[in-house]
Amino acid sequence: MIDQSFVGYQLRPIEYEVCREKIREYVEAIGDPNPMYRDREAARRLGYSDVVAPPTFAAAFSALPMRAMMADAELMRRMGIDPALVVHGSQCYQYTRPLQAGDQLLVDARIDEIYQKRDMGFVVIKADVRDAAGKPVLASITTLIVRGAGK
Amino acid sequence: MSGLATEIKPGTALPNVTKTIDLPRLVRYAGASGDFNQIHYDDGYAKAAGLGAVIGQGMLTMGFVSEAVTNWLGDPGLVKEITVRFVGMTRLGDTLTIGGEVAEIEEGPDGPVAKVVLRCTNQNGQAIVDQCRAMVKLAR
Repeated sequence: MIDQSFVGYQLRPIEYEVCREKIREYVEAIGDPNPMYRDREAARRLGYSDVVAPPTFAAAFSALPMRAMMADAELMRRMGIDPALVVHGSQCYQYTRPLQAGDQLLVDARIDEIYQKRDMGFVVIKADVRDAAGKPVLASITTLIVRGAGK
Repeated sequence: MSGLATEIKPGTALPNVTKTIDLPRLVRYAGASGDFNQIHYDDGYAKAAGLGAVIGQGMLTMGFVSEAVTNWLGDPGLVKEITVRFVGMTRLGDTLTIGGEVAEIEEGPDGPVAKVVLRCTNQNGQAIVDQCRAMVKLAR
């Protein structure tokens, strides 16, 4: 049983800078041929000032506070979660604007919901990502499933 | 892309995208995403975790799904929302096919928004994701 009192728990915020070479690594791993992710001129033709990152590049930073949480053995013990039993159940990204090279981001995450269904525990983590001016860039909603933590 | 909005209507299908799961790709994705969970590249570790063998990253699958949408639209900045529920695992040697179609078009505050329903299945027709959809603007 996961400790319900952790609903609302704020994870430690993390700063992240989107850089061209990391975008390139990401799109080469995916195998996405779109030149807008590699070639500044191709991105400029569509009105961007620098190369764009694909929407799911958010995976490179949105999960950082959550990974730090999972690596904190003492916190996991207090929450009643065995990290070895955690799987990624679902993921939603909501974008206010596209991601671009040069973006300086702040990822601010909290535990939004904890519930049980059958023999599984569910932990919903919401991360708000803002730019250097404090303007929203995207929101990430991650549902983790903790196998065997339903009771 | 100019003129795109007029070509998209309910029922419009996205071109299918096909992707293979192999170890170099899983290792590259681990490095690119910073997710170094060993269940994605170390067979012994994955076996000990009760998975039998290495499994692909769920977020890699989401990246494939997203690519199917963005390369159909031409402009990745048109994606407002993308949602995936992971229901199947991917294994080394799998070939995934991603496809989808426009379910509806609604008028949003900044113009028309299409709801696109998406699928990702392996070579045996098994679903890797469900409740998978994207909301996309038809003009920036």
